[in-house]
Amino acid sequence: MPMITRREFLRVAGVALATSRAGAGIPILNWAPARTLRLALLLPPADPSLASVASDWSAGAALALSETERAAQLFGQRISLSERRIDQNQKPEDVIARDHPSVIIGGASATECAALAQAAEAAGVLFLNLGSTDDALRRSDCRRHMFHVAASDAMIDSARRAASSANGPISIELWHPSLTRYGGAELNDRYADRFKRPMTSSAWAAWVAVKIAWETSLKARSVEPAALLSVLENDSTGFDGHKGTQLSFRAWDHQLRQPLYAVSNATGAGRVVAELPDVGRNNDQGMRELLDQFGDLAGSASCFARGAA
Amino acid sequence: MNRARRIRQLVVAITVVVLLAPCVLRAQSGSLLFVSNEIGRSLTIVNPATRSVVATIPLGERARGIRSSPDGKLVYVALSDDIPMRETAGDRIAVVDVATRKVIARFRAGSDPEQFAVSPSGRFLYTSNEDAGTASATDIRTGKVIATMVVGIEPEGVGVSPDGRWVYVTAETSNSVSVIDTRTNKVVANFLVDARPRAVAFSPDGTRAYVTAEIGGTLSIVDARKHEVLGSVELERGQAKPVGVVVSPDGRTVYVANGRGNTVSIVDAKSASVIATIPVGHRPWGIALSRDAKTLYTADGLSDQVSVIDVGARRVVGTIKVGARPWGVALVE
Repeated sequence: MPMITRREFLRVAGVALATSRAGAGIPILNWAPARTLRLALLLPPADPSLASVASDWSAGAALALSETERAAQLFGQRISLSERRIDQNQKPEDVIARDHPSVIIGGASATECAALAQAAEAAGVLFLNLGSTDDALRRSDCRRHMFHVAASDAMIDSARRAASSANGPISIELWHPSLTRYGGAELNDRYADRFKRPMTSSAWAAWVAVKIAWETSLKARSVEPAALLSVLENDSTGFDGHKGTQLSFRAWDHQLRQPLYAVSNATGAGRVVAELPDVGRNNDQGMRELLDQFGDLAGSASCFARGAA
Repeated sequence: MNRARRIRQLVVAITVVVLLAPCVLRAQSGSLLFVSNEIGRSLTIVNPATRSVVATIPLGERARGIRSSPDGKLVYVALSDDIPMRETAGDRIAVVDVATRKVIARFRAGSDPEQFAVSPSGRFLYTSNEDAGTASATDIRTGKVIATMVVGIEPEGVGVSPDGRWVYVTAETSNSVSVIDTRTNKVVANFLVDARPRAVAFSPDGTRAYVTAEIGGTLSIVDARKHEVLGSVELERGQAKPVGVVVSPDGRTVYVANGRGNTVSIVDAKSASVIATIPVGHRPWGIALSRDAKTLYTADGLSDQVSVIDVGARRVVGTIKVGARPWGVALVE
C-alpha cells in the first residue's frame, strides 16, 4: 500500500537553513548543534592467527571513517574513531573510560564478545560484534546493548544448505571483492585503491559497522547511546550496505539481516556462486521475510523474543 | 539579371538549403530516441514512429547518462572508462549532433562522469563525479570545467530546476542531496532522503523535486523552494528498486523506472500515491516521456531493449532491441 512515510523525521532532518562555513570547505546547514559521535574499534590481542582480521578491521573502519566524516560535515556534525588493542594491559573498560565512545566495535571470538558486551552494558554504551558467529551470543548470552554484524552460525548453516547445489567446497561470506551490483564495484574500488588489497568480509564488517553507527546517530539526531539504541531497535530502521536490500537488526536476536554469499574456491581465485537469498530475483515475499528464514526464526530465540512480548 | 547577381542568389539559395537541411532531416524523421548502451559502448538511435533502429554510433567507452540540449540539436552522453578512481582521457562527455548523427566533440567533466543535467539556457552542464565525490560545472561553449563542488559520498543523480537556479545532486552512500546555487556554483544546502538515492527530476513549475531511493524503495517528494523533504512514497511495498524518474509536462504525474523491480510506477503527484504499476523488461533504469505525455520509454538494461509504454492504456505496446546493457534514454522531438 503506497503511503507517506517518515514524514516527520525527514521534514526535521531535511531542513537546512543556516549558511555558515565549517569543516573542509563544505557549506554547512546545521539541523542541530554540532556533536561528535565517538566510536572505538577494539582490536583482538596480538596473535598471528588474527593479524589479517585485525588489519582488515582497521582498514574497513578507516575507509568508513573517511566517508562518514565527509557525510557528517554535510550536516554540521563530527565523528571520531579510536583504535585500541585489547590485551592483558588494556581492558575494554579502560578504553571506554578513556575514549568515551558511544559505540564500541570489535569482537573476534565468543569470549571476547562476551567481555565487550559486558563492559558496554555496564557503561551504557553500544557494542557491534564484527567477528563472532557464536549462536549463544544471540541466544542465552544475548544482551540488549549488543548487536551482531557478523552472521551467526545458524545463518551460515542455513546459507550453506541453500547453496547445497553448488559443486565443490564453498565458504559463506559477508562480502566478496568480486561483487559489483548496488555500488559493490565502487566500494571495492575505493577500498582497493586505498589499501592495495581486496575488500574481505572482515573489512566490510568494520566498514558497515561504522556506517551503521553514523547513520543511526543521524537518524537519532543524537550521539547518546540510549537514543542510538532506540533507533537500532526501531523496526523501521534500515541501512544500505551495498548488498541490494535494506539491512536491519532483528528484534529477537539483534542479528543483522543481510544477504550472504557462497564462495567457491574450486578455481583457486574464489568466485561467488550464490547470493543467499537472491536479491535480484522477483519475490512475492518481501526480501525481509526471506532474510528472516536464515538462522534463528522469530520466536525461536530466547531473550529478546521474550523481552519484546 | 547580370552574372554577379545570379551568383549571389545562388549562394544565398545554397546557404539557405545548408542551414535548413538539419531541420528538413528532422522533419522527415520526426522524433528520435537516443539510447546509451553501457556495455555496448555505443549510442543507438531509434525512430519511435516505426520503432526501428536508424543508426548505431560506437562511442568506445561505457555510455551512461544521456540528455539532449534544450533546443534538441545536440545529445550529450557521459562516457567513462574502466579505470576507477582517477580521471583519464576516457572520462568525457560526448556531444552528438542530432542532424548529422555524428560525435562532434568530447569534453571534460571531471572523473568518472555518470549522470548530468543541462541548464535550461543550454550553456552549462552539471555532472556528478562518482568516485571523486564531487559535482562539476562545465561551460559547454568552451568545453572547460568552471567549478568543482564537494557533494555527498558517491554522487549520482543530477537535476536542474526549470529556472536554472538550483542543481540537485544525489549521493548514494551518504543518502543525501546537495543543493548547488548556480549563481555562485556553491553547495548551499544538504538534506537527507532514503537509502541510496539514484536520480532526481524537477516538476515543470519548479516547486517540487522527486528523488528515487533504490534501496529505500521510495520516491521522496521535495519542496524545491525550501529544499526540504515533504514525505516519501513507498513503491511496491518497498520492494521496487527505483532509479530513473520523469515528471509529466503538467506536473501532475511522476513516472519511476523501478530497476531490478522490473516495473514502472505511475505516481499521482498531488495525492503522493501510486496509481498504476506496469511490468516492463528487466532492470529499467533510464526513462523518458514524450512531450504529449502519451508515450513512455524505458531502457531495460538486462533485456537489451527499450520498452514502449502507452501511458493511457498503462501497458507496454512494443519493445525495440538496442545495444548491450542500455542505460539511459533521451527523446528529441
